[in-house]
Amino acid sequence: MKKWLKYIFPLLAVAFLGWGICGCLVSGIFTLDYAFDQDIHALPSSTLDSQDKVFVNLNTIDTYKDHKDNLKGVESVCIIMDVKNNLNQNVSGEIWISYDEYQSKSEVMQHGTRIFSGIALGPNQERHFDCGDVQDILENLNAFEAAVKAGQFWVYGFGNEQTYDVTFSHIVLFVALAAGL
Amino acid sequence: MKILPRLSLLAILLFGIPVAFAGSYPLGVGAFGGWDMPLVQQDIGSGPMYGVALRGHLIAFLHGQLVFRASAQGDQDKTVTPLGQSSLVATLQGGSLTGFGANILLASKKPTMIWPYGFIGISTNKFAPGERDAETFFGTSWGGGLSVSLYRNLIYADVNTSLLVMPIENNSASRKNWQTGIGLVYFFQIPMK
Repeated sequence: MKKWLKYIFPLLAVAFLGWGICGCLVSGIFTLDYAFDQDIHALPSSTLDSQDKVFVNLNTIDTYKDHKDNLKGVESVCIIMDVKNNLNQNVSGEIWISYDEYQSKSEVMQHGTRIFSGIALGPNQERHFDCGDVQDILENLNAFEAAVKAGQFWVYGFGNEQTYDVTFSHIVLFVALAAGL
Repeated sequence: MKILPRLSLLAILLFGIPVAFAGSYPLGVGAFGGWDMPLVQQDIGSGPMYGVALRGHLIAFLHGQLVFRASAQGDQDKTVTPLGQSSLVATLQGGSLTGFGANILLASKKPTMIWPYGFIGISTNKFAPGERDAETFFGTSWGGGLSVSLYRNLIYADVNTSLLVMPIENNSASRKNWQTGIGLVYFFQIPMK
């Protein structure tokens, strides 16, 4: 009875250790920030111009480049930004993403994913959003995280009224990645 | 994973085994405080930890321990530079990490003045970052400790340290926390038939 007992703890320890070093132990959580290289100025129009959208390329960020081949997942994403209503009436802003570039709002809404809505702004109001504010109103988080993991995607800003004039500025994407060391 | 049923089974074993003992059974009740340090986790910082534990002898050199611990995960400040602006500090809110687990301790059967031990354990952990949804992680721990008798092998000062590994992303990565605590353990002598 006692003979096997003296082996059980070392065996358990080896099993635990073996499990631990088989990949998941040699990993970490890394953060990166990506400052958008232009503001998004959203105006209603049948076609989208370069002010309505921004291409995000995380390959320009060393942290992403260093870990992209061993990326395990995205632990969290958030956006820091200022949003300004340039009209003298209430508007509500929203942000969409897509892998491909689209030329119209309807195409984006057909093929893209809305990640952010309900940015309610009073007449000529400007609001600052930090990670805490944004986390509550982010939606389709899995799709957003998948896009971040892919590293390249388009971001669009819209208003959800017939008439809107909204500026999304000083945008910084903040990401925590799980990756192998 | 169905951790709680397993922990419950261990608890039954832990508290069931004393029935087989003759004389008295020493059941250690302890409280500890310490520090929790995330390893290679840039999204959270370190923070204070506290907890309580129950410890009892199982068989031969194996002892069982049930542990509840809670720790604060510190905020992480990051400097970012938005387009056309000077740098600003963005704060990733930390949160909390609470866990309930069972450890198997390797130590001498009889209490001694200086009572070192090693342990491995499993736990269920709730990670609640400040501004994100809480998640529950299964965890494994490796560690060791040293108990020093303060009074007749009934009251011990205890210091322990361990590595808690919580797999994430389908076991392809993990959150790892180095946890160190110091506390007191009192061994109640439970009379047995």
